[in-house]
Amino acid sequence: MSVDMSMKILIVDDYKTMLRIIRNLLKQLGFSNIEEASDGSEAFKKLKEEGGYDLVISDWNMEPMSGMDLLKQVRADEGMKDLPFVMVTAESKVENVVAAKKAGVSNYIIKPFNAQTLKQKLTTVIGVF
Amino acid sequence: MDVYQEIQAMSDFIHNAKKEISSIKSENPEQDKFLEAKDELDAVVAATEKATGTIMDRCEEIESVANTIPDKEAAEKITHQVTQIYEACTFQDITGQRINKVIDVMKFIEVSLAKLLEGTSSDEKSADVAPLMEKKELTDADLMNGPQLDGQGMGQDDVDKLLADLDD
Repeated sequence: MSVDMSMKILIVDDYKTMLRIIRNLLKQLGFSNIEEASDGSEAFKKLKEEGGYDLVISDWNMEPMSGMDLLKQVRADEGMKDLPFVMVTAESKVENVVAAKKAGVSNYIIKPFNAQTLKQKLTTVIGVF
Repeated sequence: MDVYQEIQAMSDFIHNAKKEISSIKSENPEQDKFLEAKDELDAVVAATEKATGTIMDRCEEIESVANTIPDKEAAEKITHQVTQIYEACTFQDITGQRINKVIDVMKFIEVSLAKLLEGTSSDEKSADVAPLMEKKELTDADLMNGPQLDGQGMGQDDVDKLLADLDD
């Protein structure tokens, strides 16, 4: 499976620094069409109103809407139920990962993470690039 | 020790505990140690966020320069190092979350102490704490408070003036 490097990616995090880090790492990997949101509700609004997204990379712990609630809303939406969704979070308990999996997460990255891990996880979700 | 002495000792202990709690959870915002600690932790988060932003700015600049270097091998080495700095910068998110957890715990303790103090009349609190604050002799520990927040403490000019006044 070849990956379209112009795919539209939404990164979601309430820490501006983390948004910037993920954006820069994605750019290093060759992706250029990257949008940002600071919580689940802003992200869902973008996903619904703008559309055309190919991948979501989201933090979990955000307010007012968490990454988990965003994931559930995305999976409940007929038009986005198969949208690749990667959780990137410091929530590292077993129950967190299990809950995310049950909710339909595509992959799960624990913070802090490195560029290699990001690439590996994205490869499993969207294919080799 | 007879029963009366035991009860007196318990009473003294509870009385002293109330005084200590009152001195921690002051009704005066300027003397509220919880508020002070929260401000300090907020300042730590803000300072690390600012510093991380500066590091990221410089890294992005280095990366853009690296992309213009004709020697591709050297450019890749520079970019690899920049990537590792990006990775290291994730500390800011983690430490920020940890500090927010500490603030949440402090809020919980603050509320618990406030509930505990509800059984103590405000007159008794102020009567107990005021003389304690006045009479207390400053120890080395009292004087070691670390850096002050913006707008608090003295600037260098104030320190110089004070030193000059003390020489007179």
